[in-house]
Amino acid sequence: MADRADSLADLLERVLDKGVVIVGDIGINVVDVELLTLRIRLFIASAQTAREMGMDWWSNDPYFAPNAAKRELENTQLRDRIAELETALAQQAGKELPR
Amino acid sequence: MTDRQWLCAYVITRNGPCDYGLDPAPWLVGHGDLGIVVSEIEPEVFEQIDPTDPADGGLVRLARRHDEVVRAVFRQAPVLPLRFGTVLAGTDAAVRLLRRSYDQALPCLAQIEGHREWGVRARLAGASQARDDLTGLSGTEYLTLRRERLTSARRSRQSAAEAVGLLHTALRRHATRTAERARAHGVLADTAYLVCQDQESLFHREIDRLTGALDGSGVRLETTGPWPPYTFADIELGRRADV
Repeated sequence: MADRADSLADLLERVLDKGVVIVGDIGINVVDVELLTLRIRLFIASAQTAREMGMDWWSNDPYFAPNAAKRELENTQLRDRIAELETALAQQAGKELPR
Repeated sequence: MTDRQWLCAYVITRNGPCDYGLDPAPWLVGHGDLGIVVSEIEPEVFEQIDPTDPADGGLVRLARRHDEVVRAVFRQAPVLPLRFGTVLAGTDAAVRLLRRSYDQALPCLAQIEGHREWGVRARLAGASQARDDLTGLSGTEYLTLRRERLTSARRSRQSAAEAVGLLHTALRRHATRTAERARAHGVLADTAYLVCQDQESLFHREIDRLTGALDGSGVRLETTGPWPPYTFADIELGRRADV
């Protein structure tokens, strides 16, 4: 499977960069979206560079990577399950020893 | 301060009932078969955005609200998402916009009906290489080693680019429209695909099938979505000439 990568950065880039533009005298532009989009891109690029350099603290931060919290929970559940199985195995071994 | 009502506009959609289960609840201003989903806003809230800090709380909150409304409408009807931060001067302006853009927006809405957007990003995997041990190398040996490294890197990039080309050709078959998005450093391709929902399983099967082959070519794939068709709502509406 390809990695799923929906993140805050993806959301910002899509919401800011694209969409129907209202021109003429009806709408008003309250946000400099071009400037914001440029800054988001720079942010993403520097984040990627930092990741390649091993500085990827945000990929485990639920604020920036919503899946991180889920992964953490899954890891905890897996660790618990392993501990449970190890205990069961140890008990099994204990039972078999006297024979 | 004036007592004028300002409306933040999110999407153009079909005219119809509009209970999206959101709080605060946006509403729909209708004209003929078209509607525009809006909510009241103080334009000053956009001034909370700090343009020097992209991860700023004000921007994140407003962008999430925008996406939340767009998605809520999109769950019920086809949408043309409006650019973030579109503000209209009251209900009259919203109706005027619908009237002016009617003939342009209605066919666009029909074209994207039943479609969702998916993002596929391909990047070079393992870009960072272990450094060579250069101890004891003569100048000529160093240059030879350097040339070999550069040749090998160029070949990897070529093979990765070819693999990405094959991927795009395969995915395009299941998409109604495609659009290249701006690429960040190290990204070989960042493509948005507008996929009809009856093609989605084939589209994803193709991605799964090619992921292994791409891995062998040093390419890592990331998919995002499903998105409302943000990338494909690439039109301008509201010109007086449209009347």
